[in-house]
Amino acid sequence: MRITKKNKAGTAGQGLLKRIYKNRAYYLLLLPFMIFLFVFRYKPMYGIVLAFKDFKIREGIMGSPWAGLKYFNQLFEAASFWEVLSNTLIISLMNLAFSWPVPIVLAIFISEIGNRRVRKVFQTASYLPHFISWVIAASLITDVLALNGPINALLGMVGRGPVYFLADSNVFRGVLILTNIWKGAGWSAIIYIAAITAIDPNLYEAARVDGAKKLQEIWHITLPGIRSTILTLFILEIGKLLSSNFDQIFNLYSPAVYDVADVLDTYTYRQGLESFNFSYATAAGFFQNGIGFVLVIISNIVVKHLSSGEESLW
Amino acid sequence: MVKKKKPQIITYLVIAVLMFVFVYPFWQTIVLSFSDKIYANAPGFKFWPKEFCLDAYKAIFADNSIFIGYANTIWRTVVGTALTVSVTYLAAFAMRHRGIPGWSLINFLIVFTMFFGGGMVPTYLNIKELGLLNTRWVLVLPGVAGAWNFIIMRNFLSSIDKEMEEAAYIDGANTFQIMLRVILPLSKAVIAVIALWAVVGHWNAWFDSMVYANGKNLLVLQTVVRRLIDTGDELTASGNAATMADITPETVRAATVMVATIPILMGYPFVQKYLVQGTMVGAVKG
Repeated sequence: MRITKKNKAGTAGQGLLKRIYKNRAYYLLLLPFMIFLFVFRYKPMYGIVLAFKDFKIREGIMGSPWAGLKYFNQLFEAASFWEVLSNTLIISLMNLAFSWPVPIVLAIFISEIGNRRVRKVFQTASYLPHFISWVIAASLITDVLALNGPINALLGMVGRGPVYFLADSNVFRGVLILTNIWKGAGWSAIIYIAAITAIDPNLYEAARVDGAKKLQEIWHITLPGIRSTILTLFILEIGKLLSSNFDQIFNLYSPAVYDVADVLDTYTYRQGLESFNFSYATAAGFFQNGIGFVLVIISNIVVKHLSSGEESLW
Repeated sequence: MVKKKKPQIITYLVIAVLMFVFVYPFWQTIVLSFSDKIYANAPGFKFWPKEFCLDAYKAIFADNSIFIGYANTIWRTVVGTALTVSVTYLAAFAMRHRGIPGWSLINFLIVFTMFFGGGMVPTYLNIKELGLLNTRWVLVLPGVAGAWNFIIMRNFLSSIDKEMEEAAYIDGANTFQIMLRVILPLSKAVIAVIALWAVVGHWNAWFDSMVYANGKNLLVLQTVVRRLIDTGDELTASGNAATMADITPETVRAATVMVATIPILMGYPFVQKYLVQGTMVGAVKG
């Protein structure tokens, strides 16, 4: 039995009610947070029943008639849904393969910069893009990738035709990956830099005495030293396979590239909040959140096991 | 010594190239915002405007939406941050020790929201049912209670040495006095981190504004920019903007981006240190 530690007269024999009463000030302090949590986080979860109902705006969520699995059947029969699902997975996997390792490389590079001032300035520049919204980022990216922009000018110099980066299905996913790296790599590197800082400097000393080269040091000391961080973040990333960066895609895409860039989040948005297919969109959203939830839980359990409970999210 | 020189040069070359990649898009937008039509439409890199042209800024200040956006963004940032920080602090203070009955259940209820939610449509209908659509409160209230902020704050508070508050108890202080006089002064660091994150989050938020509060008098800076991305060409082609010769959709958008982002760019070098520290706290103990 747990006893409140700071209770002046806390004895093991106290009843639960008495202990609750004793802590009433704490519950009072918790109340505002819990009210916000219930009204804005838990109440919407009840709305998921919409996926199993024919939503009539006059009847509300409660009064609308049940529809069984009608909307899930519609969802799984729609060709557009499968295209969107495969886009989601492809973009996530591309990010995992190409964007995800970049912060590790960047972190190693940053920690190898000898001059402290240069390192600070470089790091500050590297996470500047993290602090702007994707709306602003989309504006900057649009200008850089414009037909008269610098990238197309460089391509022109080597004799390649202008590329409509934001409207060409062949290159748009590449744009998503690269802009993702540009905006997030510097910030994501922070956690690896911290892990590298924690490595015992004596190891490097010993390696140097043994005549190790820089690359050997990185391979035999730095990488093993941050292995658990890498592994943890990798597994957590797998848990997020079904969720995409809505802010990024929504602000960069256009109908011209829907075939390669429309993902579950953007699809749900357009179906629900633009076309008002409320039940259908709720079903799509629930599919994503439900499976996403299971994936996140599994990945967390895996992390917990691997790190004996020290690095999981809860 | 001679051997060491070469890798050094390569390192600095890589640094220079990467710095350029990180910073150039910002620089180009600054240059664009001061460019005239001819320079804005010229191809290639833009390092310095040929003629210093303020027409784009004149154009955006001729329309009052940028002022409305500024007022609303500042309002939501101030009110939203104050609410988030205070409500989160109260909850984290109450939950800082595992003593209170029901601690595990309450903690679970909070953390669970990090992993599962109602989804876009149910969330929208909830806001609608609450009568918050097209009110300014929809910009701040839904985000007040966040699990991540709570966890970071709680972890920090629970690491504060218990001796001080025990001494205060013996002196006859009650819970509220301890919260305000003993723990609060010791929590400045974590409060600053949560507040800074809330400020950045509110300043950059656009989705809630676009979906829940799209009336013109509720525009925030981000939605002003978004409208220009969506309909930039129409905007400059119509209205009083067309009478001014020296602007393009790009220069107008660039100027708007500048006006919307200047506070972030100005404040960023000074606060980024604390934000980094905050991330570490969250990452290590989250």
